[in-house]
Parts: sequence; C-alpha cells; structure tokens
Amino acid sequence: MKLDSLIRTAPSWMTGDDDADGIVISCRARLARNLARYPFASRITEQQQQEVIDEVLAAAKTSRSMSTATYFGMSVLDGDERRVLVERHLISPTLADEKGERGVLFNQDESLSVMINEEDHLRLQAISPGTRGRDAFAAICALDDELLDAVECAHDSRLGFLTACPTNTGTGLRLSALIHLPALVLTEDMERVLQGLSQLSFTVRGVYGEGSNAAGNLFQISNQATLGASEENILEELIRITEQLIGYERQAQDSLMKEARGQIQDKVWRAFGLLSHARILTSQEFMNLLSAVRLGCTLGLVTGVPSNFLNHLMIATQPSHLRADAGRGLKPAERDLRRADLVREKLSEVTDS
Amino acid sequence: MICDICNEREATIEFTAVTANEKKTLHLCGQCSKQESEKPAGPATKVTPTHVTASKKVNVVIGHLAGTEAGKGPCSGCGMTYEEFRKIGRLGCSQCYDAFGTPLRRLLKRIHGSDTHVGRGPRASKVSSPATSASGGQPQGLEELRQALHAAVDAEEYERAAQLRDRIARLQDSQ
Repeated sequence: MKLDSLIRTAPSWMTGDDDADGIVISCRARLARNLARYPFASRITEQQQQEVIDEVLAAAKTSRSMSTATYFGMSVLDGDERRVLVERHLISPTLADEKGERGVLFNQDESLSVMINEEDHLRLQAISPGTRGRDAFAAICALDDELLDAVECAHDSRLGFLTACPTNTGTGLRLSALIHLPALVLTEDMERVLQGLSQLSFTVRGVYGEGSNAAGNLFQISNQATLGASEENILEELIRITEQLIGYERQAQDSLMKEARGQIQDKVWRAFGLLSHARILTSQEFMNLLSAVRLGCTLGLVTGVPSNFLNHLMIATQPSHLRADAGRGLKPAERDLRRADLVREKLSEVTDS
Repeated sequence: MICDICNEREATIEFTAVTANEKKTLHLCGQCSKQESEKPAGPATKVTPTHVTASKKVNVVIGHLAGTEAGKGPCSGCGMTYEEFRKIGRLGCSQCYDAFGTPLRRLLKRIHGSDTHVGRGPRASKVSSPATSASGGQPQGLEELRQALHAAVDAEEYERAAQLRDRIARLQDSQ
C-alpha cells in the first residue's frame, strides 16, 4: 500500500486548533481550469493527457504552495487505494473510475489538491476546517495565480474561464460548506430551509459529494451559478447563508432544549453509549449516532470530545479506510464489526484522557 | 437492511431518484447500485444517483434549446457538433464556445442567469478585478469596454453599443 501513512491519521488540515462548535465541519473551494492548447476530456488523447500532466507538474514544481506536493497517477493505484483518496475528499469518484492518464497532486496537510484530467484538465481544491471559508478561498486564489502564471489557460474575455461543462463556465468556482443541521431535521424545518436555499441559487447535496443522500444530518451547501457573479460575491453569499443556517440551527436547538430537554439528553447519551460499546455498526447507524453525539457536543452536554476528532472518525470508518487498515478485503458484515472496534478504541482514547 | 433490487445482499448505499413529480429513495447493495448508475437513461421511474440527474438536467435544458438551433457547428477545433454536445452535455474544446455561439450563450444564460463573466482572469490580462480597473490601466479599460459592447449588442441597446464602439476606436487610436 503506497498510501500507508495516510490510513490511520487524520488529514492534518483537520487537526489544528479546534475553535469550532461543530455546526460547520469544513469549507471547500474548487476551481475548474483547462489548458488552452488541448481539447477537453471528451476529445483528448492519452498522449495529450500525459502532456497536460507533465505541464501541470512542471508548473506546480515552481509554485510555492505545491512545490513539495505528492503526485499519484491513477494508473499506479489499485481500486481500493483510489477509494481511500475519494474518502479523504482528495479526488472525485470520476477521477478514480474513468480511464486514461489521470492523477492527483496534493500537499502535505491535504488542504490543497489538484486533480489532473478529470472533467476539466485541472480541478484545484482547497479545504479548511470549520467556518474558515475565507482561508480556503485565499489558498485557492494563490494557487490559481501561481499555476496560471506558468500555463496558458482557456479563457475568454467575455465568458471567463472555459470549462467542459457549461455549468462551470465563468469563474469555474464552486464554494461549499459542510454543515451539520440535526435540530432543523428533528423539528422538520429542513424542507422549508432547503426550498429557501434553492431560490438563492445555492444547492444542497449529501456528505460525500454528489450521488448520496445527506447522511447523519450533514448537508453540503454550494453555489450553483458560476457566471455573472464575481468570486468575492460568491464567497460573501456563501458566508452569509452559512451564518444564517447556523442561526436557524441554533434557534431550533434552543427550542428543542426548552421543550424536550430530557428527550434530547437521552438521545445524545444513548448514542454515546452505543458508540462506546456496540460491537457491530453499519455506516448508516454510525453516521446517525455520530450526529447525535455531535449535537451533544454543540449543546455542551458532551465535553472533551473535540469536533475534529469526530470529523476524523467519519473518515477513518469509511469502507476503504477500514479495508486498508485491515490489509485485506472485508465483507460488509466484517466491515461493520471492524467499524465498531475502531470507534470503541478511538472513543476510549479521548474519554479516558 | 436488504437491497431493494436483488432482495439478497445487504444494502449499503442510499439512492435518491428525482423524477418528474416525485422523489424516491431506494436502499441498494454495492453491486445493484453500480448496475443502476451505469444504465443509460431510461423511463422516468428509473432510479439514478443524483449526480446523473444533475447532468441530465443540463441535457434537458440543452435539448429544449436545441430544437430551434439544430445544425450549428461542427466546431473547427475538435469537430464536435451541437447535436453531439446535446447528447453528452460536455463541450469538446474551448473553440466549441465560438462554434456554438448564440445557442450556447442562451444556454449559459439559462443555467446561470447571466452570460457575461465577472471576476478573476489570468493574471496578465485581469479583466475586471476592481483593483486593476480602478488604477485605470489601458488594457483593462479596453477589455472592459469590449465586454460592455458585447453586452449592449446582446441586450439590443444599439445606441449604447455605438457609443461604446466609438470609445473603443478612440482608445485604440490613442495607443
């Protein structure tokens, strides 16, 4: 396993100061870019893909932010190893599954990554913990500037950056925040909130990017339009909406605690008990229990369990991380046993200290 | 939980299907979910992961617009026709943006509510960063005037377009 060092440790961007109350898990910024001289993904040859990779890696070498980054070509990784990168949000399922010369470059703390030859030649990503969306945005702009100095990008003075899919044309920027909204779900106000969001041209998706339902009351909010609003406007809008959602969630938490304190406490501590002692945990059950414990942390009922600890647990208990940790393939039933083992072990580390 | 399709294996993935009027959730095992997502577009009741639905949405919009715009292209850069773009929902190269001109711009407007970029550009020719345009640099001014001209023509504001054209000409002469 070439990714050995990653499996048991949290991405280090996640482990810094933990000043978050756990409502916003992380913020991500993504930029789509294409090199001017090459056709897009649907028309590119493998030879050209290799040239794109060479050109981008050479550009990255001279950049400050990525000069010591690690590059993994998808062809040197097996399916399980690629899944580990997907679970760590370093690559998309598309990059993992499609054929051709593809790869990912990421820095030491995994906060910055560049997917090469995904749907666009370049997909730059910056991620930061908690509500620090501005940090992620600043990091991605710096990387973008450095790379654009070195490679010629497909750009039009009127349409902005040209992308393979017209849904990304313009800024190519997708900004998102991963938000935990258990009280809004419990009070059944979420539907109303989601409707409001779609009118603001922001969209909501499940935790692990596209294609899954929101597991464990986690929602990813991101901008839809990339043309017509500047990057700064999109950022401010995301921050505004995020703050609003935090406000709604807090209100819902307050009213729950006022009207059903006993039930909420019971829900939180039952979840804590199950996570601490269960011998079998499916991923769905785990996500729901984790959500209840996270709510307990936000409410101050559970202390001594940092939110970045919970965030790491969420990654470490994903199927490919469990499989890589086991060093062999696991049947779903075995996986659920190992998940419960890992959760008990990790949880005892924080609660015993 | 058991898979809703094979009724055999354990369900590990939750799929949400968005059809014309309803949202449906299915619990599937890894194998069946893979088969489902690889199927080509089928009847409206078919279950698709939401990202497939999203790209379909683009195709639906493209399909809708393309009815009146068939025959555009093919792109001189990569040979893609508008028909093909409609089918796969992805452009073949940056020149497709020119080749599919008006219908593509209309599509962009429909997706984003705008067809004019505001924001960052490559550093050498930053288009509309407030900092650079405030400094009054010539290239930025020219670039911005050209953008405004495009917008005016599209909005059929011909008087304004003529003014902008004259200003561009004057600016070019003075350089």
